Amino acid sequence: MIYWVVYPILLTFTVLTLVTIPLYVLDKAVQPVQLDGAIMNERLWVKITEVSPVVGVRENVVAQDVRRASALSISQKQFGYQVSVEPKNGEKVGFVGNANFYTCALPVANLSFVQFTQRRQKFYKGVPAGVTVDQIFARSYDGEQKGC
Amino acid sequence: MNFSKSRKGQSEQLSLAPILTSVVAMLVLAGILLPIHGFGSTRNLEKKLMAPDIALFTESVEAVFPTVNLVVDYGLLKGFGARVDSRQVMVYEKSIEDSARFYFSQDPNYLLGYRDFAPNTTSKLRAVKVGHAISLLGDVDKVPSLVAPYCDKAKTAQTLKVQINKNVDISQGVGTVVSGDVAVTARARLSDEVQVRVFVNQNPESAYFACRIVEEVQNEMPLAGFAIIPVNGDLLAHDDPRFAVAQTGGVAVFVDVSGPSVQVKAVRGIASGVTDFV
Repeated sequence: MIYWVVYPILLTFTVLTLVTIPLYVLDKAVQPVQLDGAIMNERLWVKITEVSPVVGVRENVVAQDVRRASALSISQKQFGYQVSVEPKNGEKVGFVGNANFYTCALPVANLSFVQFTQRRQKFYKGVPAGVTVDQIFARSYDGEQKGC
Repeated sequence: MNFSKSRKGQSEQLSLAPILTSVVAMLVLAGILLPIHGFGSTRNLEKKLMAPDIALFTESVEAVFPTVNLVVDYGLLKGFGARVDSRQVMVYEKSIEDSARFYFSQDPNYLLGYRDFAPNTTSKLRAVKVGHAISLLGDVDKVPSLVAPYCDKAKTAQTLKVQINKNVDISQGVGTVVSGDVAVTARARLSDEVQVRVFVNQNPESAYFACRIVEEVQNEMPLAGFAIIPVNGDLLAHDDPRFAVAQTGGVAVFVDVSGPSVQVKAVRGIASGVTDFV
């Protein structure tokens, strides 16, 4: 009787392990969240940079209209971002892209989502300013993320 | 001794154990081999890999500085088609219904040309970024000129009144193409290749306006080069056409076009630039 009890359990476990591990590894290859975050991070920094027709890109200067400069046409991808500019002795300005998802995911970003945050020093309207680009992605692109 | 009660060597045990082991072994093999066979034969994995690849490839073209124009290729695997649509990429084999899909965010400052490349119609997907336009080209498509400015489309002066003179002759000397709230003088000179230099005064709107003019002249004829140059009236002679521009407080530019028979196209381009801006 030992065959009927131990063998099926052991072999089911073995089969599941041998099938799910390669699937998990391959699935990870089609979930490029890290690469997506890195490209989007660069896009957002480039987007908010001031461009002059005469001198070209002014790398350390943030565009005056931050809200317009950082706006993107969002897809169905579960992703949200915030660009915030804090000028020295000035009022904070910013923009939230895909606000519904971002505001929902932010409180539990470290637990349930993947978050990328980068802060740089720039100039905004001639004043030094701390600029933060914060992005939140779902861990997987497939299906609905719990809660958001 | 009662031999009939002995359980050793029962026929059930002798036959069931190897059968059960064989059945389970077959199940194990089938369980492992079927997914492996699936990866290789249906090519689902390639599709699932290519869709995010192309989406991120498209996004990365928008991640360079706006003033950079570029051409970059992505090699398509044989037997796959790719459709780049509004904020999504679909990679398919036979029909769009069997596609793998991946989404991407689109920059409203860029005009992305959507394309559908059927399987085996192109070996590569070529992204070309020129100014505001991003085109996706196949093997047979011609790559456009990469000389073009990137102008901020939000900078538009809507309250200015202008008179455009499309019949002005600028090949013999300096002519006034636009008057009114915006002043545009221009001159066309003969040379081997088309170059545009636009001189602007200190008014910040003049530079954005000059950018539009270059963009529209570029639409009329491919440029070998262009420049938008601020002028300082203190360093110019009074009969220099750039001096009048420097002395004007409003939007004022002087367009210097050189090339083989550029007069008509230059004036047309300047007129379109003005219409775009005001």
